[in-house]
Amino acid sequence: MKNLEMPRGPNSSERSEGTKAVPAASRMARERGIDLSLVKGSGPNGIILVKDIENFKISQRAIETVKKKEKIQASSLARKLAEKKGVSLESIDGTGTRSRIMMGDVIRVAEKPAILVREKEEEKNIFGQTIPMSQMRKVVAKRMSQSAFTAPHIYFFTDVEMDQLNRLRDEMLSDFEKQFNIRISINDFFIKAVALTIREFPMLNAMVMGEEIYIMPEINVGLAVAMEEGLIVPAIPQADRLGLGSIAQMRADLINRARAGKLKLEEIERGTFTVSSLAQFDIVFFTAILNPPQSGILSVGKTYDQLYLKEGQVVTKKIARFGLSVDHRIVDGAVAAAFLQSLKRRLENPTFAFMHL
Amino acid sequence: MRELTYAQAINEALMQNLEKDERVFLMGEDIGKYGGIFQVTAGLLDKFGPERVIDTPISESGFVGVAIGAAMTGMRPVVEIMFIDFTTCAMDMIVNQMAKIHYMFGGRGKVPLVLRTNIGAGRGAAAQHSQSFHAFFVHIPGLIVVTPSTPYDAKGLMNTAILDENPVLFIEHKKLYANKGDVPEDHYTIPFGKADIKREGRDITIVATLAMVGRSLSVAEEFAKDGIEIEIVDPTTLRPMDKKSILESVKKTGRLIVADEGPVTCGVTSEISAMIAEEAIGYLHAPILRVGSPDTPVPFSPPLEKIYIPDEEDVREAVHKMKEYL
Repeated sequence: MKNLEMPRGPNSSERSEGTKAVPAASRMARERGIDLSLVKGSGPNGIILVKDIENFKISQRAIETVKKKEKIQASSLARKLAEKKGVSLESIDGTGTRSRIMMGDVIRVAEKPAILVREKEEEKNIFGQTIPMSQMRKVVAKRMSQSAFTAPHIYFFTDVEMDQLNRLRDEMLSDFEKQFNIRISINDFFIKAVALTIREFPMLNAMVMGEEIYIMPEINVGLAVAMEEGLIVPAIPQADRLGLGSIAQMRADLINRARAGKLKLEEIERGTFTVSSLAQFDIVFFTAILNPPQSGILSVGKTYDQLYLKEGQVVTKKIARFGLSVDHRIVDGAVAAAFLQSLKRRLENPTFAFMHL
Repeated sequence: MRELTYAQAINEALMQNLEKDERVFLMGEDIGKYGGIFQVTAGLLDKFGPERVIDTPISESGFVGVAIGAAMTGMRPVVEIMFIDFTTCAMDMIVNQMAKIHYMFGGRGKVPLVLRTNIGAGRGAAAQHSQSFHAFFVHIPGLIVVTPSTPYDAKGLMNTAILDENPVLFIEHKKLYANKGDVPEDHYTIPFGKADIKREGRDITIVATLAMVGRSLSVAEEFAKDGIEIEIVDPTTLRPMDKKSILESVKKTGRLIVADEGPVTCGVTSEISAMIAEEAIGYLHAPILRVGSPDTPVPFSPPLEKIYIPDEEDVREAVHKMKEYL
C-alpha cells in the first residue's frame, strides 16, 4: 500500500534556508570538511546525494593540484627550516631575488609569536573566506535582529550645547580625581543626566511584555562598550540615585572588566536604558538599534564647533548631536521629543542639574 | 531435493516431532478431523490419535490456558489459533501468563509452548479473518516471534520452536501455504535471531517478512534487468531480531525499504526503521521507505482488498522512488 511520503528536498528558492543532504552525504561532507552549501545536489528536489560529494571531492582535488603547481620560490635551506619550524611558506614574504624566500625570512617569521603569524595569514586570506561567528557575535546578531524586527524604531535628534558641561567638567576634574581617584568622563554626566530624565519619563524605562507594559523598578543605565569581537553593555545600577563619584568608579570598573571578559551576566542583564557614544570618532550623529527588551537608547555623536550670532558677533559654540531611538509600540513621538528636550536642558544647564540638592 | 508446500513442511515438522518426542501434542480448533483450516495438521489425528491431536471447543482463552499449564508441567504443546484475529480472545493467557511466567517465577517455571497462527489478507475473509497484527507480540517481552517465509524455513524454524524452552508465537502466512520449495526429509533446525539473506545486492536493501519476501524477490528480479541489485534480508524471527545482519546490509547499500504486511503505524516496519535511524543514520543515502498495510480494517470487497494488500506493485513503487537517490 501507499505509505511512501518522501521528505522533500529544497527548491532552489529554499536553498538559502539550509542545504539538504541525505545523511550519508552529510556525514561524508563533515568527515572531509566539505561545505555542503557549495555542493550541487542531484537527488529529488536538489537534495545532495553521496555521489555529489564524491564528485565535488574530485573537483576540489583538481583545484588543489593546480594550486600546487604555482610553486613558491624558496631556497632549499629556507624550505627545510620552514618545515622544521612548522611555518607555512605562503605566509612568508621573501627578500631574496624575485622575492625568493631565504632562510633569514623564515627565521624572522618563526621567531614572531605564533598569534601574530596567524593573524597575518588571516589578514592575507580573509577575502572570499567563510569565518565562523564567535559566541559573542552570535548573541549580538540574534539580539540585534530580534530588536530590529520586533520593535518598530523611531529616531529623534537634537543638538546639545556642550560648552557649559565641558567647563564644569574641566573645573571639577582635579578635585574629583583627588577625591574619587578617577578621572571623570563626559559619559558619567550623560549617564547621570539620562537617569534623572528617566524619572520624569518612566516609559523610557519600560518593556513590552505580551500585551502589557512592564515599567522596570530600577533605573539602570548601560553604556555600550565596543570590543574586538562585538559589543557589550554593562549597566550602572540605580544611576539616578548614585553620585557622580560612584558612577565614575563603577563605569571605569565595568568597562575594564568588559574588556577583560570578566563581567557577570547580571551586570549586563540589569540594564534598562542604553547610552551608546561614538564621540571619539568623527561621526556627527547616528541611529542606534534598541538593546532588547529596552525601550530607549541614546546615541551620542562627536562634539564640534558651530558658528552662531551673538549680539551681532559671530562666535562658536560646542555642539554634540544626540539621537534617541525608541520602541514606538510603547513610546510615541511626543514623549520621545519631550524626553530628549529635558535631557538637553539638563546637559546645557549642568550646574543645577548635577547639584545634589 | 524433494519439494513440499509450506503447509506440508510444517505438517512434516509436527509429525516428526510427534514421533520423536512423546511430550509433544497438538491442540486447536478443527485441527483433528478436519486437518486444520489450512490443512497444516492433515492426517496427524489418524496417525497419533485423539490424545495427541486434540480438537478443542471454540474457546481460545481456555485451550491456550490448558496448554500453558501443560507446558509448565513438562509437556511440549503446539497450539493452533485458526486466525491471528482470534488470539485477541486469549490475550490475557498469551500476554500476562505465557510471556510472564518464566520471569515472575524467577526462572523456576518455564513455558515451552508453540502457538501457531497465521496472518495475511487476500482470501476475501473480511476484517476479522485477515489481519496482520503480529507486531502486537513483538511488543511483548518474553515471547519469541517467528516468521517463516519459505517451506524450508517453516520446517526448520518449527523444529527449533518445539525444542526451545520459551513460548514461541509461530506466525504463518495464509498466502504462503500452497507455495512449494525444497525441504529436506530429515529433522533440521534453523537458529532464532539469524536473518537470512534471500538475495544479495549492492544498491538497495529490502528487509522483508513472510509473504513480502517473495513479493520483494520477484520485484528485485525485474530491477536486476536494469542493473539495480536489490538485497533481500529476511529476519526470519522478529524477536529476537538479527540487528547485526540488517545493519550490515544497510551499511553496504545505504538504502532501506522495509516491507511487512502489518499496518505501518507502530508496526514491524516502524521498529526496523527506528533501529536503523538510531544506529546507522549516517550510512543512509536516501530516506527509509516502508511498505505495509494502510491504517484501515481489511476490506471485504475484493477490489478494495486487492488495493489494501501490500503487493509487488507497492514494492515496485517504493523501489522506483528509491531509484531517484541512486
